[in-house]
Amino acid sequence: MLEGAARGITRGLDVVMHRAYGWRWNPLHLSGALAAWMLVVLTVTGVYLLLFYRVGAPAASVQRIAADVWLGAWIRTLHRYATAVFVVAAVLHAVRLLSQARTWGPRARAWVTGVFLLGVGLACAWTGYVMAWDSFGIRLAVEGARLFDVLPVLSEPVGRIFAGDRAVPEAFFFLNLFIHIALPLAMGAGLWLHVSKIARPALAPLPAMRWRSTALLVAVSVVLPAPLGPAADPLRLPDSTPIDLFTSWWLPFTEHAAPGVVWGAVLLAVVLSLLVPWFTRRPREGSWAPSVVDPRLCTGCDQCTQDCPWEAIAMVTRDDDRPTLVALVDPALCVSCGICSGSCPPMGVGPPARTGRDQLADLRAGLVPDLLAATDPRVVVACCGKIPDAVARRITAAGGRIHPLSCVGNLHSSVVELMLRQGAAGVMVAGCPPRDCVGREGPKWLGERLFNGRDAKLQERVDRVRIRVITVGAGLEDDAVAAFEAFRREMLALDAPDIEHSVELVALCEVEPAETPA
Amino acid sequence: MNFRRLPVMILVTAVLAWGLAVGAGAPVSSHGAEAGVLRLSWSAHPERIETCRERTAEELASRPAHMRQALECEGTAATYVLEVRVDGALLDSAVVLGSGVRNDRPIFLLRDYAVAPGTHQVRVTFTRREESEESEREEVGGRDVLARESTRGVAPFLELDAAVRFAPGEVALVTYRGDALVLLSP
Repeated sequence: MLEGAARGITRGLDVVMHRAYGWRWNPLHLSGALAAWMLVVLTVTGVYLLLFYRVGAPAASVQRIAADVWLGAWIRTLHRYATAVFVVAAVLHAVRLLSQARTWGPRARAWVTGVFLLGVGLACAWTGYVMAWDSFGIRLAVEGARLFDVLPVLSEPVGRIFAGDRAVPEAFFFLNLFIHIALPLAMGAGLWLHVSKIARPALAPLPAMRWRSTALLVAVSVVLPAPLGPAADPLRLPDSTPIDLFTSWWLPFTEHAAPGVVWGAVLLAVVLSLLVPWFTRRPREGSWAPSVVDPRLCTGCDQCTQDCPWEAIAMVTRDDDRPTLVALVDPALCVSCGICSGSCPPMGVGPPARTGRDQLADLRAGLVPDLLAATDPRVVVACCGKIPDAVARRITAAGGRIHPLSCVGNLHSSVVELMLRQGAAGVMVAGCPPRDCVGREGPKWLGERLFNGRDAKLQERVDRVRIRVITVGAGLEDDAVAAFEAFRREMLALDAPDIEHSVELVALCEVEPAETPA
Repeated sequence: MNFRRLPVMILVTAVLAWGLAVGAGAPVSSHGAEAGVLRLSWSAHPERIETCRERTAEELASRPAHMRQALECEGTAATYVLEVRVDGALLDSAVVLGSGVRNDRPIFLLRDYAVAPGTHQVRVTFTRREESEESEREEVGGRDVLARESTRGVAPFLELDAAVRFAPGEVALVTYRGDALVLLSP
């Protein structure tokens, strides 16, 4: 149910974003990287603001920043808006991962550290707003004190600092500033842990998206500067306070609730968040079984270790007399994405029933007889399983022959070759947007393997004109069908393909292991 | 760039930018701002009530040199009753203890009460619950005992009785200064 709701949210947002920006520029596909980039923006703007901040006169110094300091108002607003974008991006990142079932098993660490990062980010925002010491800052400070004072931690209630019978001590603002600076350092460590189990983490959006998002934030900061409330006065409650709903949406609710209720809700939310990997776990069998290596086929080429997005494959010494290393999958790290299936020239690695050899066997048992028996040329669409059934139905209705895949990154190039040599007029591979691949790097490696000579590369003898790779984004289904129709027309306009009724691909690939030359 | 998409792109970008600006500074009414606030805030040491006796020469001789204090005292901290009345109506009545496990650490008081705007007669009393005793010697169980209040704490009885004008969102602060409750208004 949780995943279903997340899928609905993600799809709805993707439809809007794809129609506005196209799948190439959908910022939601890079929400995690966008959140990390916002940390950079926050650090840079924060250092600038720190130059003018005074713990002895917090409200006055922030008002001076907004009024007198060169670019101060814009930088302060940018700092504030970047905080909001960080929180929104981090939440959307979590929802997307939940929708793609990327929360359990080897990904549990990333999920748990992500919850930690979001929590620390919110705490950091809290201290940041208190630093400004305007009507919003004191409201947060008083609420924080009210909540902390029920904990048996401090001997004197923190709330008395803000009672108004004496000035708020400078030490409080110094401590608050210290925490505001220390928390991002903890976030740095958390971010390292967050991405420590994945290869090639996208810690920043694509350069163009990075600068466009920053430019947009700057523009919004200039045109719509963030409000600054009146200086905090413990003896006066303003009618309303401009509050940041992205980071402090909870404030109007908690102010009306008993501290015990608030702490209970926080505890429940944290526990439930941390238990998501447990709620969403899958049995490690069937389509979720980890990859295995057939050591008899492994040539020690190292390609699968390079391609694995989860660093789940290592090269180790063999226990036979062959002079090469052999790949070894760590089942505790493998997420069954199947990217390795497409990376291995001799097809010796992959999740059970999804190795290159299994794909060829499936093809020979299913699609090939159809192609050979067809009286007219057929265009095959190898289609990622994440693409909606409705698209597959429309392509079928338009004359395409669907060949389902678990992910385009699993597709072995020999499968494409076999399709073309056994009668397909053309092969279209329809995948998810590259930055939205559940296997992280499926479309990327597919393109490299088919067109750029990356192992397991498509052989030179295969006519690339008859191959097309398209991306199907949510809400762009019409474009996908139109692309298929155009491709089909192109293929049918070409000479009919030469059909080889008996194809034996590179002997090394399809022979039984026992016959493999040493 | 896909120019067919341009109007949608501009619209979505504008909505996102507007949403960001509005969401990052949305005016939200302050909790309790529609009423006036009567705030009590002070800290003070509770009085210590002790019973002491002088150790005998034998007792002192049996102790190491650095532990030969002539007076042995046992005691507790005083407790107080706080009462808050507005226009004669009882708003709060509570027993106030010192902090710490033995309640012998300072009393920290911080309470807010919402009061309807207007002028009201406010009466706050802070009264020691235990009877106040003069230091005196008496014979208890054949021993000479001194009852005393060894440390000076908050006065046994504090009172503030004043007409206070409450405006919406304004805090009238009652605190403890110079052995008396005082009213600080904005």
